[in-house]
Amino acid sequence: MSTPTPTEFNPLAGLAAAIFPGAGHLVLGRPKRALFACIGVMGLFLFGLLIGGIDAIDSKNDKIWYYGQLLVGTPTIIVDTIHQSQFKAYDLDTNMLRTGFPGEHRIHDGTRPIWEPLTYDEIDAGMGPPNIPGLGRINEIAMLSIVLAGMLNLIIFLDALMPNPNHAPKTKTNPEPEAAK
Amino acid sequence: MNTLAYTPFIDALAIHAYWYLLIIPMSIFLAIGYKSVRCMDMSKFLREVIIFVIQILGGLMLMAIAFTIIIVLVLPMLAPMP
Repeated sequence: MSTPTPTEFNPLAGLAAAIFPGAGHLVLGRPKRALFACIGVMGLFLFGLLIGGIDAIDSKNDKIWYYGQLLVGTPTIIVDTIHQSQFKAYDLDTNMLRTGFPGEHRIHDGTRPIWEPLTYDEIDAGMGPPNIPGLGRINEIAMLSIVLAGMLNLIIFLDALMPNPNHAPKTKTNPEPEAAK
Repeated sequence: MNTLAYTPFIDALAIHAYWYLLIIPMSIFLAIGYKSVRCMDMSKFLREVIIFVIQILGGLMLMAIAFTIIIVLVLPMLAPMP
Protein backbone atom coordinates (compact mmCIF):
# COMPACT_ATOMS: atom_id res chain seq x y z
CA MET A 1 0.00 0.00 0.00
CA SER A 2 1.43 3.41 -0.96
CA THR A 3 1.61 6.26 1.54
CA PRO A 4 -0.68 9.23 0.82
CA THR A 5 0.97 12.18 -0.91
CA PRO A 6 1.59 15.06 1.52
CA THR A 7 -0.39 18.24 0.80
CA GLU A 8 -0.24 21.81 2.02
CA PHE A 9 -3.22 24.04 2.72
CA ASN A 10 -3.20 27.39 0.97
CA PRO A 11 -6.40 29.44 1.50
CA LEU A 12 -5.05 32.42 -0.50
CA ALA A 13 -4.50 30.24 -3.56
CA GLY A 14 -7.96 28.72 -3.03
CA LEU A 15 -9.54 32.18 -2.92
CA ALA A 16 -7.68 33.23 -6.08
CA ALA A 17 -8.77 30.01 -7.83
CA ALA A 18 -12.39 30.65 -6.85
CA ILE A 19 -12.27 34.15 -8.34
CA PHE A 20 -10.71 33.28 -11.71
CA PRO A 21 -9.68 29.94 -13.25
CA GLY A 22 -5.91 29.37 -12.98
CA ALA A 23 -5.29 32.30 -10.61
CA GLY A 24 -4.75 29.90 -7.70
CA HIS A 25 -1.83 28.19 -9.38
CA LEU A 26 -0.38 31.59 -10.24
CA VAL A 27 -0.43 32.43 -6.52
CA LEU A 28 1.32 29.10 -5.85
CA GLY A 29 4.12 30.11 -8.27
CA ARG A 30 3.16 27.53 -10.89
CA PRO A 31 2.60 29.77 -13.92
CA LYS A 32 2.68 26.98 -16.51
CA ARG A 33 -0.02 24.98 -14.74
CA ALA A 34 -1.99 28.23 -14.21
CA LEU A 35 -1.88 29.02 -17.93
CA PHE A 36 -3.04 25.55 -18.99
CA ALA A 37 -5.75 25.47 -16.30
CA CYS A 38 -7.01 28.83 -17.55
CA ILE A 39 -6.92 27.66 -21.20
CA GLY A 40 -8.85 24.49 -20.31
CA VAL A 41 -11.58 26.12 -18.22
CA MET A 42 -11.96 29.35 -20.19
CA GLY A 43 -11.72 27.42 -23.47
CA LEU A 44 -14.72 25.26 -22.49
CA PHE A 45 -16.53 28.34 -21.14
CA LEU A 46 -16.00 30.45 -24.28
CA PHE A 47 -16.69 27.49 -26.57
CA GLY A 48 -20.07 27.06 -24.85
CA LEU A 49 -20.83 30.75 -25.32
CA LEU A 50 -19.66 30.63 -28.95
CA ILE A 51 -22.01 27.83 -29.95
CA GLY A 52 -24.96 28.58 -27.66
CA GLY A 53 -24.72 32.36 -27.41
CA ILE A 54 -25.31 34.34 -24.24
CA ASP A 55 -28.50 32.33 -23.66
CA ALA A 56 -26.34 29.34 -22.62
CA ILE A 57 -26.04 30.96 -19.16
CA ASP A 58 -29.40 31.75 -17.64
CA SER A 59 -29.88 31.82 -13.87
CA LYS A 60 -33.66 32.23 -14.21
CA ASN A 61 -34.73 29.73 -16.90
CA ASP A 62 -31.97 27.11 -16.58
CA LYS A 63 -31.44 27.24 -12.84
CA ILE A 64 -30.00 23.74 -12.27
CA TRP A 65 -27.53 24.10 -15.17
CA TYR A 66 -26.59 27.51 -13.74
CA TYR A 67 -25.54 25.98 -10.41
CA GLY A 68 -22.98 23.83 -12.27
CA GLN A 69 -21.90 26.76 -14.43
CA LEU A 70 -21.40 28.88 -11.31
CA LEU A 71 -18.37 26.71 -10.44
CA VAL A 72 -16.43 28.62 -13.14
CA GLY A 73 -16.57 31.65 -10.82
CA THR A 74 -16.82 35.33 -11.73
CA PRO A 75 -17.02 34.85 -15.54
CA THR A 76 -20.38 33.06 -15.15
CA ILE A 77 -21.75 35.72 -12.78
CA ILE A 78 -20.69 38.54 -15.13
CA VAL A 79 -22.19 36.90 -18.25
CA ASP A 80 -25.45 36.05 -16.44
CA THR A 81 -25.77 39.61 -15.09
CA ILE A 82 -25.31 41.02 -18.61
CA HIS A 83 -27.76 38.47 -20.01
CA GLN A 84 -30.48 39.26 -17.47
CA SER A 85 -30.04 43.04 -17.61
CA GLN A 86 -29.22 43.75 -21.26
CA PHE A 87 -30.88 40.97 -23.27
CA LYS A 88 -34.11 40.14 -21.45
CA ALA A 89 -37.25 42.24 -21.09
CA TYR A 90 -40.72 41.98 -19.59
CA ASP A 91 -43.61 40.32 -21.38
CA LEU A 92 -46.56 42.73 -21.07
CA ASP A 93 -49.10 39.86 -20.96
CA THR A 94 -47.47 37.68 -18.30
CA ASN A 95 -45.37 40.40 -16.62
CA MET A 96 -42.41 38.00 -16.64
CA LEU A 97 -38.79 38.62 -17.65
CA ARG A 98 -37.98 36.53 -20.72
CA THR A 99 -35.87 36.20 -23.87
CA GLY A 100 -37.28 37.85 -26.98
CA PHE A 101 -39.09 36.00 -29.77
CA PRO A 102 -38.49 36.64 -33.46
CA GLY A 103 -40.74 39.52 -34.44
CA GLU A 104 -40.16 41.48 -31.24
CA HIS A 105 -37.70 44.12 -30.20
CA ARG A 106 -36.54 45.35 -26.84
CA ILE A 107 -37.53 48.89 -25.81
CA HIS A 108 -37.57 50.80 -22.53
CA ASP A 109 -40.94 52.17 -21.43
CA GLY A 110 -39.39 54.52 -18.88
CA THR A 111 -39.52 52.15 -15.91
CA ARG A 112 -38.37 48.79 -17.30
CA PRO A 113 -37.41 47.04 -20.56
CA ILE A 114 -40.35 45.46 -22.44
CA TRP A 115 -40.89 43.44 -25.62
CA GLU A 116 -42.73 45.27 -28.37
CA PRO A 117 -44.07 43.49 -31.48
CA LEU A 118 -42.50 44.56 -34.78
CA THR A 119 -44.33 45.38 -37.99
CA TYR A 120 -43.68 43.28 -41.12
CA ASP A 121 -41.69 46.16 -42.61
CA GLU A 122 -39.46 46.30 -39.53
CA ILE A 123 -38.93 42.52 -39.61
CA ASP A 124 -38.07 42.73 -43.33
CA ALA A 125 -35.58 45.49 -42.46
CA GLY A 126 -33.79 42.96 -40.21
CA MET A 127 -34.98 44.13 -36.82
CA GLY A 128 -35.45 41.63 -34.03
CA PRO A 129 -34.52 40.72 -30.46
CA PRO A 130 -30.95 41.48 -29.28
CA ASN A 131 -29.93 37.79 -29.31
CA ILE A 132 -30.91 34.55 -31.01
CA PRO A 133 -31.18 31.79 -28.36
CA GLY A 134 -29.87 28.29 -29.01
CA LEU A 135 -32.37 25.49 -29.49
CA GLY A 136 -32.32 21.71 -29.09
CA ARG A 137 -28.99 19.89 -29.02
CA ILE A 138 -26.91 23.01 -29.66
CA ASN A 139 -28.34 24.69 -26.56
CA GLU A 140 -27.80 21.52 -24.49
CA ILE A 141 -24.20 21.07 -25.68
CA ALA A 142 -23.44 24.75 -25.03
CA MET A 143 -24.79 24.55 -21.47
CA LEU A 144 -22.99 21.23 -20.94
CA SER A 145 -19.69 22.73 -22.12
CA ILE A 146 -19.96 25.51 -19.53
CA VAL A 147 -20.97 23.04 -16.78
CA LEU A 148 -17.94 20.91 -17.74
CA ALA A 149 -15.82 24.06 -17.39
CA GLY A 150 -17.28 24.50 -13.90
CA MET A 151 -16.60 20.90 -12.85
CA LEU A 152 -13.07 21.12 -14.23
CA ASN A 153 -12.56 24.36 -12.31
CA LEU A 154 -13.67 22.60 -9.11
CA ILE A 155 -10.82 20.08 -9.56
CA ILE A 156 -8.39 22.94 -10.26
CA PHE A 157 -9.70 24.90 -7.24
CA LEU A 158 -9.16 21.90 -4.93
CA ASP A 159 -5.67 21.41 -6.35
CA ALA A 160 -4.87 25.07 -5.63
CA LEU A 161 -6.39 24.94 -2.13
CA MET A 162 -4.52 21.74 -1.20
CA PRO A 163 -1.59 21.72 -3.63
CA ASN A 164 0.44 18.63 -4.27
CA PRO A 165 4.13 19.40 -3.52
CA ASN A 166 5.11 16.91 -6.23
CA HIS A 167 3.68 19.33 -8.80
CA ALA A 168 5.92 22.26 -7.79
CA PRO A 169 8.07 23.54 -10.68
CA LYS A 170 11.72 22.45 -10.75
CA THR A 171 14.17 25.09 -9.49
CA LYS A 172 17.95 25.28 -9.25
CA THR A 173 17.85 24.83 -5.47
CA ASN A 174 15.23 22.10 -5.75
CA PRO A 175 15.95 20.33 -9.05
CA GLU A 176 13.61 17.42 -8.33
CA PRO A 177 10.52 18.50 -6.36
CA GLU A 178 9.02 15.01 -6.70
CA ALA A 179 8.88 14.20 -2.98
CA ALA A 180 7.86 10.61 -3.61
CA LYS A 181 10.81 9.78 -5.89
CA MET B 1 -32.49 48.88 -33.10
CA ASN B 2 -31.18 45.34 -33.31
CA THR B 3 -30.60 43.51 -36.55
CA LEU B 4 -30.66 39.75 -37.00
CA ALA B 5 -27.01 39.40 -38.15
CA TYR B 6 -24.99 36.75 -36.31
CA THR B 7 -22.96 38.11 -33.38
CA PRO B 8 -20.35 35.74 -31.89
CA PHE B 9 -20.87 34.88 -28.19
CA ILE B 10 -24.31 36.56 -28.27
CA ASP B 11 -26.25 34.50 -30.84
CA ALA B 12 -26.34 30.71 -31.07
CA LEU B 13 -24.57 29.04 -34.00
CA ALA B 14 -26.80 27.17 -36.46
CA ILE B 15 -24.70 24.01 -36.65
CA HIS B 16 -27.37 21.45 -35.84
CA ALA B 17 -26.13 19.05 -38.56
CA TYR B 18 -22.64 18.83 -37.03
CA TRP B 19 -23.48 18.63 -33.32
CA TYR B 20 -21.48 15.41 -32.83
CA LEU B 21 -18.25 17.12 -33.97
CA LEU B 22 -18.47 19.55 -31.05
CA ILE B 23 -17.09 16.80 -28.77
CA ILE B 24 -13.62 17.23 -30.37
CA PRO B 25 -12.84 20.80 -29.16
CA MET B 26 -14.60 20.07 -25.86
CA SER B 27 -12.42 17.01 -25.19
CA ILE B 28 -9.26 18.96 -26.12
CA PHE B 29 -10.04 21.79 -23.66
CA LEU B 30 -11.06 19.25 -21.01
CA ALA B 31 -7.78 17.35 -21.43
CA ILE B 32 -5.69 20.55 -21.27
CA GLY B 33 -7.41 21.68 -18.05
CA TYR B 34 -7.37 18.27 -16.38
CA LYS B 35 -3.76 17.50 -17.22
CA SER B 36 -2.70 20.96 -15.98
CA VAL B 37 -3.26 19.67 -12.43
CA ARG B 38 -2.82 15.92 -12.87
CA CYS B 39 0.33 15.79 -15.01
CA MET B 40 3.31 14.86 -12.79
CA ASP B 41 6.01 15.99 -15.23
CA MET B 42 5.10 19.07 -17.29
CA SER B 43 7.67 18.14 -19.94
CA LYS B 44 5.30 15.28 -20.86
CA PHE B 45 2.21 17.54 -20.83
CA LEU B 46 1.49 17.53 -24.57
CA ARG B 47 1.88 13.76 -24.82
CA GLU B 48 -0.48 13.19 -21.88
CA VAL B 49 -3.06 15.61 -23.32
CA ILE B 50 -3.04 13.82 -26.68
CA ILE B 51 -3.41 10.40 -25.01
CA PHE B 52 -6.30 11.69 -22.86
CA VAL B 53 -8.10 13.17 -25.89
CA ILE B 54 -7.74 9.85 -27.73
CA GLN B 55 -9.06 7.99 -24.65
CA ILE B 56 -12.13 10.29 -24.41
CA LEU B 57 -12.96 10.11 -28.12
CA GLY B 58 -12.19 6.38 -28.33
CA GLY B 59 -14.36 5.63 -25.28
CA LEU B 60 -17.27 7.63 -26.70
CA MET B 61 -16.93 5.92 -30.08
CA LEU B 62 -16.98 2.48 -28.44
CA MET B 63 -20.07 3.47 -26.46
CA ALA B 64 -21.74 4.72 -29.65
CA ILE B 65 -20.96 1.41 -31.40
CA ALA B 66 -22.24 -0.60 -28.42
CA PHE B 67 -25.51 1.36 -28.17
CA THR B 68 -26.02 1.12 -31.96
CA ILE B 69 -25.64 -2.66 -31.80
CA ILE B 70 -28.10 -2.86 -28.88
CA ILE B 71 -30.70 -0.61 -30.52
CA VAL B 72 -30.40 -1.84 -34.11
CA LEU B 73 -29.72 -5.57 -33.55
CA VAL B 74 -30.35 -6.74 -29.98
CA LEU B 75 -33.58 -4.91 -29.12
CA PRO B 76 -35.42 -5.94 -32.35
CA MET B 77 -34.52 -9.58 -31.55
CA LEU B 78 -35.74 -9.35 -27.94
CA ALA B 79 -38.90 -7.38 -28.71
CA PRO B 80 -39.76 -7.72 -32.42
CA MET B 81 -42.18 -5.16 -33.81
CA PRO B 82 -45.31 -6.66 -35.38
